[in-house]
Amino acid sequence: MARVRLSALRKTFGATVAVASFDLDVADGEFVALLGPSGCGKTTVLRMIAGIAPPDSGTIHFGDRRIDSLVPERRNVGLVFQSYALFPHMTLFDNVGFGLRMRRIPRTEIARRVGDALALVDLAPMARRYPRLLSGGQQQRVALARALVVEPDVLLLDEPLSNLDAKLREHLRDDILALQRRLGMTAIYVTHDQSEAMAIADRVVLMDAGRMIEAGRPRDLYRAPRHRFTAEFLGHTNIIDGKAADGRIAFPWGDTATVEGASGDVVISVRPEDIRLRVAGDGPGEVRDVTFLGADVEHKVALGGSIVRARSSGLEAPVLVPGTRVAIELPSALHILNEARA
Amino acid sequence: MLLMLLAPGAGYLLLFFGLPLALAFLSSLGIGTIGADSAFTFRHYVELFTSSVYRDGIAFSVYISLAPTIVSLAIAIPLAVALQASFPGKRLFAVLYKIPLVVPAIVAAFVVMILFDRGGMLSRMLLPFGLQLPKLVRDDFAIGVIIAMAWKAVPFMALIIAGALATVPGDLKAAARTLGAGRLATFLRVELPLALPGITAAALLVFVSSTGAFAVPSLLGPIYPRPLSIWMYEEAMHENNWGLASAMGIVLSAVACVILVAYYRLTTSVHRSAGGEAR
Amino acid sequence: MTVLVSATEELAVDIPAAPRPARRGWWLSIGLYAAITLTLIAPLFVTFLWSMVDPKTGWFAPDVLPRSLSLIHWQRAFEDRGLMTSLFTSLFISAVVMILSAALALPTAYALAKIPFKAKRAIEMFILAPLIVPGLIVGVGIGFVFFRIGLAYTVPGVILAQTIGTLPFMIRVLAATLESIPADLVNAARTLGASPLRIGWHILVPLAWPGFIAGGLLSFVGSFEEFEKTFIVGAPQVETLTVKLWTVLGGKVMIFPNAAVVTFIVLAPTILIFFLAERAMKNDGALAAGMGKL
Repeated sequence: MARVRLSALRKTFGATVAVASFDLDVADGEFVALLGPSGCGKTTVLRMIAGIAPPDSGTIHFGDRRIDSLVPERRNVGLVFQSYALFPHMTLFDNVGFGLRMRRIPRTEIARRVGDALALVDLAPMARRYPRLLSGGQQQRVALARALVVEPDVLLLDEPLSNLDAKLREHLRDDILALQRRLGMTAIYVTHDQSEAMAIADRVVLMDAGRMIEAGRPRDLYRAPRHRFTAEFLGHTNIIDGKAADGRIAFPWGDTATVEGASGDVVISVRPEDIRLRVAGDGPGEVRDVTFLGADVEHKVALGGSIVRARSSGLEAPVLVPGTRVAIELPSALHILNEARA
Repeated sequence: MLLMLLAPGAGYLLLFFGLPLALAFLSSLGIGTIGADSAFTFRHYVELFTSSVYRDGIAFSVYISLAPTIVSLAIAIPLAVALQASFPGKRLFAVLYKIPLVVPAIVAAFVVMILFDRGGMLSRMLLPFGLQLPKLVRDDFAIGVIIAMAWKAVPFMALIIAGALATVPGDLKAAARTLGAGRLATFLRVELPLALPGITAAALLVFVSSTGAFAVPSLLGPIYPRPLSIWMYEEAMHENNWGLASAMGIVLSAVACVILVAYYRLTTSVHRSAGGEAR
Repeated sequence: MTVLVSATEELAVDIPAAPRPARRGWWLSIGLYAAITLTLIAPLFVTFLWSMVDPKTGWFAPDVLPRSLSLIHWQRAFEDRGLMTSLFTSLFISAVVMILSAALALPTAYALAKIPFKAKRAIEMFILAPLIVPGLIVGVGIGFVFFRIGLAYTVPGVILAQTIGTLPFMIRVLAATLESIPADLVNAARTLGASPLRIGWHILVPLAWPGFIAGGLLSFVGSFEEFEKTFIVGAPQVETLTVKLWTVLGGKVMIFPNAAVVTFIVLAPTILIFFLAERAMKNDGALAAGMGKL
């Protein structure tokens, strides 16, 4: 377990820049999620930490130990793969014990530690089986035990849940988090699933095109993103333009709102669940479309030349017929993005 | 419809491969032999297994099949590993290394004569250093035979083993590395076991094709012992003793069939061995 | 102070960094090309020198190089009626074997690749068998039959015998190629209204074409370099180039320069066509399948 520091990491594949210049400081015992669309470089960052992809430049430290030029086997990391990557020709026992055997740990201790690790993931009775007979979720728990049993400085997880179906995914996600908390392990978790990242991580690092866009606690990133990319990538949002003067923002459809210090052209992000619709014959909006999503009802409202999405949930959620005229109620605290519309 | 599609290929082989083998089997038992009375007998097999000449022949056949297999395995495995990496000029090399596949065995034998025989290229090059080559062509240990056959077998083996190694997922290798296994340990404990069916298959196929080698041992092998394949040719073509020749052919085919079945079992049991409760 | 700290940090990394992958690639390349030069190119070069030996001076030990070179053996080879007949016999036989194998293989390969049926594995094994049973045994077996029915010592007999070896190869290459075409492509074409014939022509043929070409060319090569079956069924009346080479090498007097010339007359078309086949083939999978890989 250690603090992990990445500094100015860069990796190119031919002419493609996979990771441009990446800095990250992960505290001891912290759970960080690298989040971004596919091809954003998050997996490359993880592979550079693991030593599978050597960085072109930059440094990686585990605690005080600089490890970026070490071969993978000398780094002491635990890596969990999307494909599970269990050795098909070994029993679960031998899979989990592999790292310990490589470290020349005495047999009896291997037996004890492998037993403990398999018990940790509730698979102790299956020790003599081969991976092929296990379900995906079970296989990934074995992979987790295999990565944890060597007591790595950092646990690296590369989209570990992406091959599992939805229900199992949530279940295993909670298991991973519980294990990480219990062992106080430093963990870096790569995913393209924003809700998974927010659910599991202490801190979410959002990446795009090989760069870090924004990092922070899930709640802060969701509620108060600085960048439009963040607002749009995490959940759903409405991006609305307005003109501000003396702390008052005027919207294209005629409403105004007060935001302290706002001036000039502003872009605000409003989550659909924060917008209330009120039926009003002379309202500025017109309902275009209604979608029933189970927990939520989403209305698409034509408003001032663009479409605004509003979501409500619960029993009293209104279901309006297309064509209904509505007025819009925005939340009292509006969040202004600190960049102009791209 | 299915039969019509299968008929040209499978039918041809049934007629020109299956039927002759069946006839050879009968003839080995004394039935329908050319130039001999037709009567059921085991005498050809008895002769084959009791005559010291043929017993030496069988032993020698095994020797000149096993030795090239081992030699070519020792070369082909590292070559197959090298072919997994990317290096400048790989595309050309990937074609060049396969050339011995299409070079006739006789040519291989001829080149071995030119290079390794007494007075050949190698001994000429060693002469200024006062070194003398041991006898390598028509020698008692059939070194020349082994060189020529291994030379033909290496690309075949490397092709199959490289294919087997290429199917080992990259994630498995990465997993082994991050768990503390070095390059060599990863190869020995992960890649090699997973490629083993392919490696075994390649070795079996090379072994079988060597049991029937004719041109190479004829040109490069010792005067005595001679492999069963050459005796078979002699009996059939020169002695006109088709019964005995057939018996030899049947013994050699039986070896091939046993290995074919072993090979088949091997490819189908890979999945099974990886499943099920251990021990 | 800061300098000191960073210096110890550097020391902690004092494990030899793995060489840059690009550098390692160069070393590997040099090693492999050196090996192939030593085991393939140099031996062929020495053989080539033998074909150029001047008969007036000869090439005797301890000379590492011939005293003088001459084209006389090549000239004689091209004037040698028998040798040229062998060349044309070989080319003719190989062409017919190639066409025959392709024609016989296509329907069977299609059935094996695209139609599921019960005894498939058994039939696959049977088709594999001629590749595994050594050529000499097949040759003696078929020779035994051909001597009786008068096909021995004839060109058709040699063609039929060689096809026993090339047909399984062709079937397996074609089946592997056809198998690699996803069934969904055919299904998609079917839902778009294509008849089986049009599916064959517009989908299967274009996609299987490289495998078909490569398989055909390699069948040609397989026939061209075949020795055992031809030798037993055809020799001495039907003399292909490999049989000719055998008689040059196996006779009472062995004339190296003549053998060297024949060697190159065999190798030149073989290697040329092999290169063409390799170009047509997208990967080694079909080739490995053809050579017996299950």
